[in-house]
Amino acid sequence: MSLLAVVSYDADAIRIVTAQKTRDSLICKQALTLTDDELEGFLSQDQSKAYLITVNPPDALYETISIPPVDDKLIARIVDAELKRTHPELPPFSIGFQVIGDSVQDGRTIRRVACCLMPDELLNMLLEPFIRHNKSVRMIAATPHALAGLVINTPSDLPDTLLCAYDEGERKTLLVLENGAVLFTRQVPSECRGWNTLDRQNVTMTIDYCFQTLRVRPGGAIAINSEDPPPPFVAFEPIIPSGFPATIINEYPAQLALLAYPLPASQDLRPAAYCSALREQDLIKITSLGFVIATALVILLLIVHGFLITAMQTDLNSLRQPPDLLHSVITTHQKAMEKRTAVEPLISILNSQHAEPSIPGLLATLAFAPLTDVTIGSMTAKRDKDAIGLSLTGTIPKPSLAGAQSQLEALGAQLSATNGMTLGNRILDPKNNKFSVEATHKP
Amino acid sequence: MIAAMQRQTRQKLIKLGIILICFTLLASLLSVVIRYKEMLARTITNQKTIFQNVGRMRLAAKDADKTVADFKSLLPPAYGTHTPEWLVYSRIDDLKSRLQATEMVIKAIENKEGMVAVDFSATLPLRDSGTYSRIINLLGNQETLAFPFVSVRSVQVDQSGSETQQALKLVMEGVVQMPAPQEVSQ
Repeated sequence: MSLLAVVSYDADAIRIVTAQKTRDSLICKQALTLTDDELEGFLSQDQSKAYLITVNPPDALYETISIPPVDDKLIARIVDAELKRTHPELPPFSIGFQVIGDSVQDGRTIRRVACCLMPDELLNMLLEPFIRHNKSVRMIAATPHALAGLVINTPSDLPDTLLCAYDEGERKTLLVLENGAVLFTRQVPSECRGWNTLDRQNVTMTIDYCFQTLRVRPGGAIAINSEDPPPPFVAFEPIIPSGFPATIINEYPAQLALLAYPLPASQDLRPAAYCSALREQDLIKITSLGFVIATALVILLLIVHGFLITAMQTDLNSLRQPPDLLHSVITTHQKAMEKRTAVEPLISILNSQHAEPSIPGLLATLAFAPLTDVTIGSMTAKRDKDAIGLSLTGTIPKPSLAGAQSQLEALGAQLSATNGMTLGNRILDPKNNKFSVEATHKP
Repeated sequence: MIAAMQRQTRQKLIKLGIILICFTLLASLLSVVIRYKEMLARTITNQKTIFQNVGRMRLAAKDADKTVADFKSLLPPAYGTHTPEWLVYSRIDDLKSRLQATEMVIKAIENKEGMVAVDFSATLPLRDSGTYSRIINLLGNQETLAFPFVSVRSVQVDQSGSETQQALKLVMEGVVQMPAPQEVSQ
């Protein structure tokens, strides 16, 4: 959404229309008619974001030139070169142009371009108050170009070549359009607003002049800002945007046209130096705005971090241990560790000694149930590293060897029942029924 | 016109410069603040660790004290006041008097692998099963004692004598050992 102001330098006054423009709507805010002095006051107070200027000076030159059909990007450069070549006598000027169309002449295709030449000196003079008040002018358009835009954007059965008349009160502007391009303009003085006999004669004479000199015959004539104009004018009812009063067309047609139907950049008459300086300022403004936003973000982050740091410092203070307490804990811990370190080797010795298998412990757990005819003659328990070797010898005076063997096996089974005991060799000597049993105990 | 525009451009450039300086200063300050905050976060983490470690150190000190106290309770009263050799011989004397061996061979004191050790062997008559149990219990009890340590290496129970007058004897070998001198704070 932006607030736009269109300033029109007319013969009798400066007319301004400000409007709120959004993507879908255009709403008129105010329409003013000011003098030169009042314009300064207006500019010092107005809040519009951008300004568009329409101007219709008598010394503007309208001309149709022919150029070769070239790429659109090259047209501006060729038109500029062509006009500077044909008018070396003119002071520096700015050009607004519109392509009428291509035609064939003498077997060659040529492109006809309608141009408007406006002296830079005049344009700079118009821009001065805006520069003084630091206002950005986004376009300067010739009033006939703005009005042409209004005419071609109004759906009607009007002919391609048309004479349009614009009533500025004490001055009438007549312009000839071909396919929306301004071929020729003429400004004639008038007694008052409206179309009297003399004014209508001027229209008729202009039509004749066009036919005789330009070889162009307008198919009709319309009065852009007059209600019920007399002949030779035909009816013309432009479309007025809903946000504008219906009567605005009578006094502010160029402003309405420029707001409702923006002109292409090719019809912008702003001097190149101004455009370049404005671009620089825009770039600086955008950069500044970016950095202002970034600075605001940084400030915001600083505030947030400030709060976070305050909270963290509170946390830290609550967690921080008094140095005396820390010192006493560390000292106590160190002393305790030193004491433990001193006894640790002894504890290791104690543990290793007690980890060794105990022969008395094994002998205490051995339990033999009475076995018939088994006599244990000797028992040896010997420690070997982490195990105890146990060997038993004796006799089994059984008449049968099988019986002796089964008693021996029973003895072995009793030994195996002891926790951690692994049975080894069991030998029965059949000559004398002596036996030996070996076992290993590993707790 | 151009001069006026250039003047405005210059003014805008000065403003942009001021904004840039402010931005740079504030961004630098923000960078410092962020680093300070990170440092503060690390300090808080460290303080939390210290807070936890203080508790752990207290517990560890208490554990260590308990371990040392428990260990000291295992030491004989004479520990620290007498030499390891004296303690070893004292235990040998004790064994000698308790075992009532018919024969007891005590070897010379040795110092090996950081231990002061005395090997011994004893021969005991087993008159009845009660004697066997008493000896086994006695040896088991001696093995549970600490400083010095009694370690029974072998036990052999044999029948000896003629067929009419058979007798049981128990031959045992063992060692009494003690760590070589070390300072243990009392």
